[in-house]
Amino acid sequence: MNIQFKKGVLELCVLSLLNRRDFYGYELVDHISKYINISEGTIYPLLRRFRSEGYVTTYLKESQEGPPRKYYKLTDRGKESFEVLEIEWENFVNGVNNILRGEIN
Amino acid sequence: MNKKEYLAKLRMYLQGLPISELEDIISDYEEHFNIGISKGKSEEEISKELGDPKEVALGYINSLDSNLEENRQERRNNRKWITIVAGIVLVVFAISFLSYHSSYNPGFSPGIFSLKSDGDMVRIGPKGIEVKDGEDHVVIGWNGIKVKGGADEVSIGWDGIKVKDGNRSAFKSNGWSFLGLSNKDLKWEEVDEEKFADLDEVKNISISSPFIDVKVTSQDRDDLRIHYHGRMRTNVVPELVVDKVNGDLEIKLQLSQNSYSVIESKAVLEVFIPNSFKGNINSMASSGDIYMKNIVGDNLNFSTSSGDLFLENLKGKVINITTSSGDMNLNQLNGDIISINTSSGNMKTSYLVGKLTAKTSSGDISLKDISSEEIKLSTSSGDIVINLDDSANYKIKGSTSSGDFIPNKKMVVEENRRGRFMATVGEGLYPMEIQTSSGDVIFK
Repeated sequence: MNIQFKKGVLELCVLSLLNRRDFYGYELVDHISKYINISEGTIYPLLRRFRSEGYVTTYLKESQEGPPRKYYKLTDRGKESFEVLEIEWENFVNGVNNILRGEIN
Repeated sequence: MNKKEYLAKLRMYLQGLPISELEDIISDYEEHFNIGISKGKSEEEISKELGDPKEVALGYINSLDSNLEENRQERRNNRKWITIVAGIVLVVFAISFLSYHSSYNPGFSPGIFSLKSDGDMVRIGPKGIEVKDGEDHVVIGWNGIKVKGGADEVSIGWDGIKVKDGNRSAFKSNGWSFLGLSNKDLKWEEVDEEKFADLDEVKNISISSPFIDVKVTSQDRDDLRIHYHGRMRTNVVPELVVDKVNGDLEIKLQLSQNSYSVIESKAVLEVFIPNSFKGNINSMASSGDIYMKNIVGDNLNFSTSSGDLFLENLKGKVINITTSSGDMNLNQLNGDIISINTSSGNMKTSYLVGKLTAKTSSGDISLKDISSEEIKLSTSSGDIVINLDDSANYKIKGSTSSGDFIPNKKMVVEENRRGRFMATVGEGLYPMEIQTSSGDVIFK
């Protein structure tokens, strides 16, 4: 798949998961790579960029097994951005489906 | 590729990023590996899934918001410049003091200290410093710096930089900076030096650096390893000097002159201390950052002027931190006594254990998840923000002249009027004293 395209989709996936609850890095990577074939290392740079853009904040939380883990939390700004992207995505998918399955005059 | 190899590769490709950022990134992947391993995956498997470290590193370098990064870099450079100007003012002050002093000292001829021996000469006087060694001649005065070696000559003045190489001569006028050093005149200098020191009977380790970042970590080894590497654009490259006198090991980056100018530094002084060392460690950097992780010592002292501090997982009896404008990022510090002093630096801490005293003048203080059994905070105009976790157990007492005290829901407020406040969190077991003048006190 085209890299730029994949990147955009990946952003949407990460935001959408974080919109539901806070995740730690490994969990996010693990969940996404179950459904999409990606190099897992590409998600951390994305998370860092989200943080510098103010879409997410991070905090450390103790875990039962081992040292504290870094959790990512969506900010209001991140939420707004996710909502915009989600609409864009749906419009896009609908458009593509129309082209793939629709009739040609 | 195993975990160690993967992280080393990633680190290599990320060279050039600010050290704090680099370490933060590496720790993300370290966490990823550790969790993966605890779930039964092999290191090789995890490496493969993460993908080529080079590609991963590019993900960071490409995704850097260029504007943001430039601003930051500029701010850092400005801060460095302030230190440099201060350094030069000091040198000038010292020269004038010397000349003033010597004019009252009958042992010197007025205004001049001079040493001479056939062809060699050192002279310090009101006009500056002059050193002559045969054909080599250095003059540092009010008009600038002049270095002459035979037919070659470099002079740096207020108006620009002049280079004479035998018969050829070049002049560059002042681009932007004082001292006439313009951006293009300084080339990248490369350093890569490694030294080892045995720590037999060593009780104190002191590390000092002017503008180079310092990074101290522990390692499973017997002797101490020093690795000074990277590139910088400066008019003087600090020299690594390691001295052992009695129980003291001194690791210094030394400058051959007191004033320096740095355009950019991507060099780092890395010190690897054996796990078994349990003595005192003193670290000093003026505009360089100090990064220290996983160290257990007796007394740990840190001071910087404009450099930032990143300290993580340290344990000591006394931990002393002083900065002038440098910010502090403190994570998992454990000491009997932790004392922090800064003028305008901001302070951010999490997971702190021990008696804490922190003073700032305009710097903000932010505390998260602390379990110190005694806390004293004071600031003049900085804000204080405290995140208390569920186990917090404090009796809070404080005053502010014009700032606000904003309690959180978990605490019982006994007083909050006319700038005085008192509140209890949990059973109120440990005392917390807070004083601000115009800064707010906010509990979250």
